[in-house]
Amino acid sequence: MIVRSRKTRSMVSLPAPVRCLGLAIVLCAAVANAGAREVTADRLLHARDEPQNWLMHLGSYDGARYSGLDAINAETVSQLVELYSVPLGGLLQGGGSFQDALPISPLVEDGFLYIVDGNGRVNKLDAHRRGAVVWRNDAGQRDLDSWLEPSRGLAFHGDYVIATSADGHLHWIDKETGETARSVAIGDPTEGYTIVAPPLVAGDRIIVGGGGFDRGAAGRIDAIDAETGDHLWRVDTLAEGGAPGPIGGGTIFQTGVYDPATGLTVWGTGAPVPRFAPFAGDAGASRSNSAIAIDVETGAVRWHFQYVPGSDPNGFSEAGTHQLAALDGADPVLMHFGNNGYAYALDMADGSLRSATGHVLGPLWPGVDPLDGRPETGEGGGLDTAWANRADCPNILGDPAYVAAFSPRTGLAYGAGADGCLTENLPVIKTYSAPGWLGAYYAGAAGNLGMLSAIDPQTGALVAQRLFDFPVHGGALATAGGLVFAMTAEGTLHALDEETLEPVWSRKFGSLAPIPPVTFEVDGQQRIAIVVGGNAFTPDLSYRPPEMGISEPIFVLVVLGLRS
Amino acid sequence: MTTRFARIAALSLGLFAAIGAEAAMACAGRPTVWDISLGAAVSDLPTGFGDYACGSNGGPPGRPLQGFGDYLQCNPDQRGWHEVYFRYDDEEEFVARALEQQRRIAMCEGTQVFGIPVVASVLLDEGGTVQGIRIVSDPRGTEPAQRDDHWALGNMLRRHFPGDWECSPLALGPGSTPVGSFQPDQECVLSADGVEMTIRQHYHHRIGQAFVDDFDVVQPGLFVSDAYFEMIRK
Repeated sequence: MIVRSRKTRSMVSLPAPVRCLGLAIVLCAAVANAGAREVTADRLLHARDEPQNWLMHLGSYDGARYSGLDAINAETVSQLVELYSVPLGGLLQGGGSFQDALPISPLVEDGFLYIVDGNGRVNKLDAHRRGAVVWRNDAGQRDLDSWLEPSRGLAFHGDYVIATSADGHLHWIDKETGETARSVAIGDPTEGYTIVAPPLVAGDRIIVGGGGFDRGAAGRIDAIDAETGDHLWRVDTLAEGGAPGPIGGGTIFQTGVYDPATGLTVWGTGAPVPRFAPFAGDAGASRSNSAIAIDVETGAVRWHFQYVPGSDPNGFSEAGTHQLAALDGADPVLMHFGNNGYAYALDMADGSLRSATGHVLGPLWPGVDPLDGRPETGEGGGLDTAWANRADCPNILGDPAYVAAFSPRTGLAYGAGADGCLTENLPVIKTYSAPGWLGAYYAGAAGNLGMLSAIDPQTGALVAQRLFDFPVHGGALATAGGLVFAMTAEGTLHALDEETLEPVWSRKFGSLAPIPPVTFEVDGQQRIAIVVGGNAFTPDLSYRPPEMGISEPIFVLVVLGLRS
Repeated sequence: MTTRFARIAALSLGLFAAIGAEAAMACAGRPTVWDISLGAAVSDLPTGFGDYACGSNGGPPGRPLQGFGDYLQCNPDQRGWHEVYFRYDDEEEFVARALEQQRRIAMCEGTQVFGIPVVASVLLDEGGTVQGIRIVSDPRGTEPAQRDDHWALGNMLRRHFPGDWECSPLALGPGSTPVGSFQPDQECVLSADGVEMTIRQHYHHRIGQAFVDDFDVVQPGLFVSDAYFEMIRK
């Protein structure tokens, strides 16, 4: 409003050319100011009330990856086309960047996208101008160990973009100028600590999850004062006390969720290290492969739920996301699509098990223990022995750290991943289009199929399931348009009916996407943005069907919209 | 001090027992370096290893041996100890690789410690008593994407043997530069009640090394990344 009144006065008093120039400047200022709105705690709390934006990595505090936009729906999706693309670095794996697309997701505010690229730089792109680069910040990424991955995303706080760098630092970047205002060390990279999970801003604090899976640093979750950068608390994601136990692991790979009602933030932790060969049993790894619920204010661990015991020799990782499924009149339920093949529904208040539903095909566990939720063998043996001798399904490559979705429209949670088994066990699973199809082969695994499951968190019922010929390596996005988006490994983006999971639209990009798209609105038009390129699984393909022949090492942000 | 001794003793025993249990679960009781106890007689060392040879302070194997019992064929070091190199039984790994069995490969893979390939050796005195074990990261046949983690074996060993490690930075050689914004090159020592452990780790570019050379050509393998561990009786 203030800008508009100044514009009016200027136009009255100036000659035409100058008026035009003044108008241009004012319009630019208006656009700039539109992007400069402070992202307050209240805006984050009600992020879903701004469907035109995508204000946090998982869309909203409940981790739902759900958008209220509905212009792209079952009736209009046939008009969905690529509008433009933005190449993101880099192409120099081992040279300061990654050649393949990483599971990096953008934030969007008022028509501006903020995204980390393969070099770990933070970019501001103008969606009003086909993704033109507004600024690019690499201050936190200079002289980094090039074998470390950049962060998978960003966060907003006030006038800042909150970013992390692989050397364990947290950065406050001015949204307007792209200048780094403050940097704080969270962990020590010489101990193997690094950060890949996007930070979570909860009220006046920034929650950061990190660790160093292959480098020995134990996973940890830290809270930092968003205004001062002061360290507030820390939670170790392995057992309290540390040793004897695993020598590392419990790494955080994905952002946690936040429940303002209980003041709890919940994060998923990864496997203990060394993976496949833990040697100390459960003793030192009681919080690995778990959901950990932490009081944001105090840092106290209120509860934790371990999906897979620390003694698991199979290498499962439960570092994927959680969804807080809260519907009117129903108790809030915490959902997690487990790498161990079960979709878990936990009571948010105390972490108690409500249901565990198998969400993959193939030989699965006979059941789950009703008390601790861990898969049972039915052989009557000790847990460790049982896990060691279990069948080799589900595939550990299934969905170790993908992002699931929850739609308040349908009340369903959507988990998308890969299905199948290790080569020790090769069941033939039929898909809709190719009976007898074994899927794309991976080194050490076979029968990999794509899988999208819709589960009712309240009842644990598997409501719908869709198999694809190729694995899904990204996760899902749900929208008010009644669609669920997921991408299969050969590079096809699918839009599916939210109830039946029947495909209503698909578009082949010819390259993999490691993360589901986000959606936003610019200039009154709904857009879909997705990162495409080869991903971390590309080198693992020991057999690539012709359909996967062009999984090129690229890293491109593609923006789609309805044909006008 | 008692606590530290108890911790190390418990760690040594507990660790060996735990690792032995895991080995039995994963690879049918295949022995590992942790099955070698300090102070044991050479005649009591576990069998089941292979490729015995004279060691070279963590380097490639020297004169082939029939077993640990041939240790006197190896030249003694300054302490008068004979270094015998050995490797784990890798038959299961070969089978697993042929069948592309990822989990079995990972559980039975070569001579590795915490997932890092190593050159392992035992240090025997003139009378055939085990005075120490040595573990050095093994770069042979390792892709750069895995070798970059070799220095971190030192981190894992320190976590595995918790205690008051005394660490001091190791100076980089002339012209050497850190790989990233941090420099983990250091030597750490933990000594208590008859056992001394030393860890040295390096992660840097030697002079002339860089990930991208002067012609903008990517050189992803040009870096030093290694770890050296020695546990000896004092």
